[in-house]
Formats: sequence, structure tokens, C-alpha cells
Amino acid sequence: MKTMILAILACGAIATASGPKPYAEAPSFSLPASSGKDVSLSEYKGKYVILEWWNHQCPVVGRHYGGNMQAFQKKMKAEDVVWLSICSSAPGKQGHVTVAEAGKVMEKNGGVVTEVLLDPDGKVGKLYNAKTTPQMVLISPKGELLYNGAIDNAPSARTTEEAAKAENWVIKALGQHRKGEAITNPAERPYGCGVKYAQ
Amino acid sequence: MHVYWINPGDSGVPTTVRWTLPEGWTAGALRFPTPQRFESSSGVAYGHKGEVLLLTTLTPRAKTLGDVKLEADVSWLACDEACVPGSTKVTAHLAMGGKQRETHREVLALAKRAQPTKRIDLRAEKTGKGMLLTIPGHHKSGYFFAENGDAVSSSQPQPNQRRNGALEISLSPSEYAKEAPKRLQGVLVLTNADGTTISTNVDVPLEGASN
Repeated sequence: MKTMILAILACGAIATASGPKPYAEAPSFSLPASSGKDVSLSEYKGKYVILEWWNHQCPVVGRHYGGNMQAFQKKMKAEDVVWLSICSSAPGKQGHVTVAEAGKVMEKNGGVVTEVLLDPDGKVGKLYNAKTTPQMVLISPKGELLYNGAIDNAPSARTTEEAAKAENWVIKALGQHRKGEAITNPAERPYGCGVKYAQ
Repeated sequence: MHVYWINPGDSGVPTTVRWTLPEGWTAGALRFPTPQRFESSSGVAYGHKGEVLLLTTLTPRAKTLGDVKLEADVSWLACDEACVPGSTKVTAHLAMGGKQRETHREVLALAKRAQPTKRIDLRAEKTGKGMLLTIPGHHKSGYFFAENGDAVSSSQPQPNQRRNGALEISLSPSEYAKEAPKRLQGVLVLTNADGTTISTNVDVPLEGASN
């Protein structure tokens, strides 16, 4: 009995030593949501969380919402992954929506998301170094930052069909993390419209 | 309103052209004019404003005769405060095999003038924090536009200093850098003491880079 316990402990130690390097902690935040409540990242501990920087009037976001983004969102929903779309467009700038409008606009675009969050002063966007829409972040069930960057490797895709063949960096990181593998692409340069911050 | 260079910088999507050409014809890479910096609340973008002339070299199949049709499908993203998409299909007809005619002389001259000129002497080396460009001569200041956006940060400033008869430009690695690049490729814009500027193509080895 004693030997068995020791053996288990030893295995645990080896797995830790050879495992992937520790990830940074995803910065915590709380933002007003389209549902009317305030949403905190900490509410979703225990689940994978995707953050999507969103500006519904950005042509690059529009190209992704031609079908691929919704398919991606449905796949994530089926896998019990939380999806938070964050709008950091300042009032008066492209893509800005109010709490009252946000849900309707997302619904009209066919988005399948857990919540739309409003970040009009850009604080959370800057906390996550969000530069473009769409920019994507993946957070582990323990609250670790697994991925932050471009949605895929096809900035110049022109059609839904072309984009469907692209490598999706979020899906890749999620798959690797679920298997306990190191994430090979934790940060890919984002593309799209610059986030329309106040300043 | 501006469109984007081959490396769009902190945001954007570069302009692309897809050709439909007669069999056996090939199109070379797009040659962009010297880029400019566009600063916004989301960082620094690299691109072009006003009338933008992009050049491509088309190579015909040997012994092509008669009328040929060349089609280009152009796509771009243009941004200012807001972003708007753009695309167009353009067609040109050429009579091959006849007497050579020079057309579009003025627009071609304009396009060539907007391109970076030939290379000048410079060195690139890896430093503790990033990379250093050393350009011999009397240039007052300079800015390097890296073609590979993963190599050099577009949002960080590029401190300049004059030392030992040369201009030194410090470059910060991009936050998305995977490994130090082995070469630095891009466009260098230099300002002379009299305020005039020149732009040159850069393609040099990065000294001190591992491997």
C-alpha cells in the first residue's frame, strides 16, 4: 500500500516537471452585459472561456459573420465553452452599441454567444491588449490565459468557403490544452479593424 | 482614409490582387509604394493614402500573339475612424505581337517614383533587447518598416541616435515574435539633414541571430 502511494506521487511530480510552462493569469474584469446584469470573468471558473473583440460594423468581422463565426460559436456552445463578445467601441465610434442594443444587434447577426459585454471606455480591451476586431482570447477553466491574438491564419480570405479552410488558432489551442499538450501558437498577430477606442 | 501595406502593422488587412491570366502567364508579387505610419487609439498601422499605385510584373507565355485579356480581382480594407471594405474587378485587353506601344507612361512614372529606390549600405544586428540598424552617412533620422510583422514591433517607437558617423535605429521585437529573424526585410525611410527623405528596400542578414 505504501509503495503504491509513493509511486503515484512520483508520477505526479514527473508530470508537473515535464508539463507545459505555467500560463499567465487572465486579468479579471466585470462589465455590463446585454442581458442587463454585470458579468465577471470569475463567474465562469471551471469552464473554458472565449473572449471575442467585436465591432459589428467592421468589414472583417462582417466577413467572419458570413457563417463561419456562427458555426464556430455553435461548436463551442456544444462543447460547453463560454463565449463572451466584448464591444470596446467608444460612443460615437464604429460598432458602438448600448446595453439595450447589443443583444438585438448580435441576434440580427445570428451570433450564438453567452453574453455581449460593453466596454465603452476600453479598459478591458486595453487590459487584454486587444488591437483588432476580431481578436480572440482563450481562458482555461483555472483562469489561465491560453491564447490571445488572431482568429485564424487567413487574413486575406475573401469568402466564407476560403475562411472555412483556415487554421483557427483558438480551436487549435483548445484542442492542445484539452489533451494536456503545450500550446504551440499562444499568440498570433491579430488582423482586422483597429479597435475603436475613445483615445 | 488609408489602405494597408504588405505588413499592415497593429491592425488592418493588406490589399491583395488575384489575377486571371491567359494560360502560361504569370504575375509577380505586388510591389507596394513606400508606406506611411497611421497612428490611432489601437496602435500604429502601415499603409497608403490618396491615390495608391501598386505595380506587378506580368510575364507572358513565349510567342503569345493576338488579343489577350487580363483580369485582376482587387480587394482592400480602407480605414480612418471607421473601416470600409473595397473590391473591384478590372480588365485590360492587350494586342500582343504588334508594334510596341508605350501606354500609361505618366501613371507608370508616378508609380515608380512612389516605390522605394535601390538598396543602400547598412548593417543589422541583434542586441540584448532587440535589433539595431546602422546606416553610414549623414542621415538625420530614419524609420524601418519591417515586411514581416512578426519580426519588429509596429507600435513601439524606434529611437534614433547618431554615432561614429552613422545613424543608428533601435528596433523592438514584436510581441508576436516567435524567434529572432535571420534577415531583416522591408523599407527604410531616411530623412537627410536638409529635410528631404529617401526610401530604400532593405534585405540584410541579422548579425548575431542564433543559427
